[in-house]
This record gives sequence, structure tokens and C-alpha cells, in this order.
Amino acid sequence: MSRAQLTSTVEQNTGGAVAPFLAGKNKIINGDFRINQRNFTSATSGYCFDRWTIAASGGTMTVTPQTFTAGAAPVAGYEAQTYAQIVTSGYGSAGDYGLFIQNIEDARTFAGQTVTISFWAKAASGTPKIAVETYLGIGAGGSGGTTSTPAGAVTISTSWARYSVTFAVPSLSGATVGTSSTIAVNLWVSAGSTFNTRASSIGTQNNTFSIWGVQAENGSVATPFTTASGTVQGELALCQRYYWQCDLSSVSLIYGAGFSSSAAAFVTYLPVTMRTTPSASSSGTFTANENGVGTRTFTALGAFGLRTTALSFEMSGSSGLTVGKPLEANSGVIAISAEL
Amino acid sequence: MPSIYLEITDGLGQQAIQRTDENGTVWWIPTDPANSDYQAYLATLAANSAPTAQ
Repeated sequence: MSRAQLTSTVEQNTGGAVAPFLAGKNKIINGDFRINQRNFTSATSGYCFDRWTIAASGGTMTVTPQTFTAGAAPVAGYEAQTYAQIVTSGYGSAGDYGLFIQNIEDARTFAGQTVTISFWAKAASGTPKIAVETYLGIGAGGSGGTTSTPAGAVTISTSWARYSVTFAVPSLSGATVGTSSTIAVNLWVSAGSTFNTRASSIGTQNNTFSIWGVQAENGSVATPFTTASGTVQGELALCQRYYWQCDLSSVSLIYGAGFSSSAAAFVTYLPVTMRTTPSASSSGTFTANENGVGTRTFTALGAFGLRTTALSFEMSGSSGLTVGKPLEANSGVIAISAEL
Repeated sequence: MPSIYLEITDGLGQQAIQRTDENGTVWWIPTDPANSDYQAYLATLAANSAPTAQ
């Protein structure tokens, strides 16, 4: 190794003179919780912040987005906007659990590597623990591999502080990686004794946890936090590979045309190519502006045509449309999901 | 109440699955083996919950 290489390595490992703000080093997407396409305000299951999901049983685990007071973010020089607050309640039985999870695409990520997972955290009271684990999803048609890799637990306090765990992720030697494989980063905030091995015996906990700046990277040192992309737009695009929510009244202009007196068809490109062919749903009130006529109200939005790069849909249940006449969709919400 | 699945034809004339969730949300799911919603549907099928053909 040359002196220059050595110096670079030392600086990277120590967070020294040249801060290693490398795009892509952090495999956690939306680790600063800035992207919230679902506009959730409180969630107890499923997806909440982009890329983050909740798994809970026995007790209640409530995640809410919280805003940092300007100047109060835990890292000097990084004026973060949002953190995740997790309130756990009703936990006490052996089989209870509460996890905050990010599924990272591809089981090969981190395989056979030393990995460091870091985050800032604080509690409302006491000194509860947060356990870290990676969990392999070998994918459809796949087999083998070590499913759970416990990485240990950290004891947090009532003040913001950064915590990290370093551990070895097993290799995939002998395994067959299937379709849509994953490796999840699991942050356990409560775990009954049934999960002592996976959750490093943290036990059931009822408290309020605040978490920000989650980073998962190769190597044995927690380097300075950066988002996966290093930019706001880049992070949004990374999130939109898995989920896109389109509010027709404000987010996107989508044009179509009537194909009967009661229905119209629309098509649009997606902002980024999705991970795989996405699922789609709609909600809200569906209207479109018919050229030269005005607002038309529809009773349904569906009949999706789904591709990784584009989307078609129909609005139906209107009346008096002119076949072939252009319409601009202007209300309704479409959700497109290619989550893992 | 579990989700209800229905085999349908999508807007492009291809086979798809329609899932109605407990909260009433309707999802259109492509028959793409890499789509996790479709994987969940296949798992439901494997558990002998046959779909209703449209």
C-alpha cells in the first residue's frame, strides 16, 4: 500500500481531515427520515417513512415523524430536518416484539463482510436498549444462508448520542440466491424472551425512542453520517425505485382521453424505473378536466396497466364524455409499490 | 379479516391480481415473480386459499 493510499484509508477510518462523504457507502436509504412520500403522521404497522417498515406484535409500536428545532439536530454541521419517534406500550410477554426495519435489496449486500451499523438515539426516560440484527431473505426459489445475524445491543440515555455496532455478516457460500432477495436491518425496541437470541436479550420495553441518522456500511468504523445518495433529490429517486405516490392535484400532470361516454384512459411515465413491475392502488376523489368543458367527476380509478417505467389507468363512472377528447387528471391519489 | 384476492385482466389486457385489504384499499398486482405482493398472493394460494375467477 502506498503512503497516499494508507493516508486515505486512515482518514476514512478515522473521519479525519477529509470527511468520507461518499455517495453509496450507506446502504440504508432515507437514513435521515427526510423522505415521507406516504405523508404518514402516525403508523403502527407497515410502511411509514420511505423504505422503513414496522413489525410489531403483543404491544403497540407507534412511529411518528418529528421535526428538529433548528440548530438542535444531534450532529454539528448537519442540519437535519426530521427524526423518527417510536413509542412502545403494552409490551410484557415472552412472544412480544417491536422492530423498525429497512429491507435492503439483494441478499448479497454485505455478505461475508465486516459491517458497521450506526445511528443516533435517545429515550424519554431511563436507559433502554436497542438491539441490532440483520435478517436474510434469500428470495423466492432461493435456499440456504444464515437467516439471523444478531449484532448486539446498545444502551441509550435521555440525550442524543451516536451508537454503533460492528459485526461479521456470514457469507452466502453454499446458498442459492432467489428472486427479490433481501437483507434487512432490524432495530429491535422491544423483544420478549422468545427473541432473546435475535434481539440480544433486550427484553420487553415500554418507552419513547428517538432515532435519526441510520447508517449501514462496510468496515469496522462508523464513518460520518451521510444519506445513501448524498443529495435530497438522489435520496428521493432511490426511494422512488420502491414506491411512488402521486397526488394528481399537485404532484403530476397526467393526460388522457375519453374512450366512452363514461370512462377515460390515461398514461404516464414513472419518475424513476421501479425495482420490478409495481402494484398500484388509488384513493380519494377522482376528477379530470375535459378540454373545453370543465371538471368531470368519476367514481373509480383503476384498470391499471403496470410497467417498471410507465403506468396506464382508467377513470370510470362519469357521464357525457366525448370519445377522443383530451382530459387532464386533476384529483385522486395513486400509489405505486415495488417494495421488497 | 384477511385480504381478498381476485384474478383479473389489467388495463393492458394481461392477467393480474386484485387484492382488497381490510381497510377497503384495492391493489392491482402484476403477475411478476419479483413483485412482493404477488409473492404474498402465491403464498396465500399455497395455503389453499383459492382465488375467485372474475
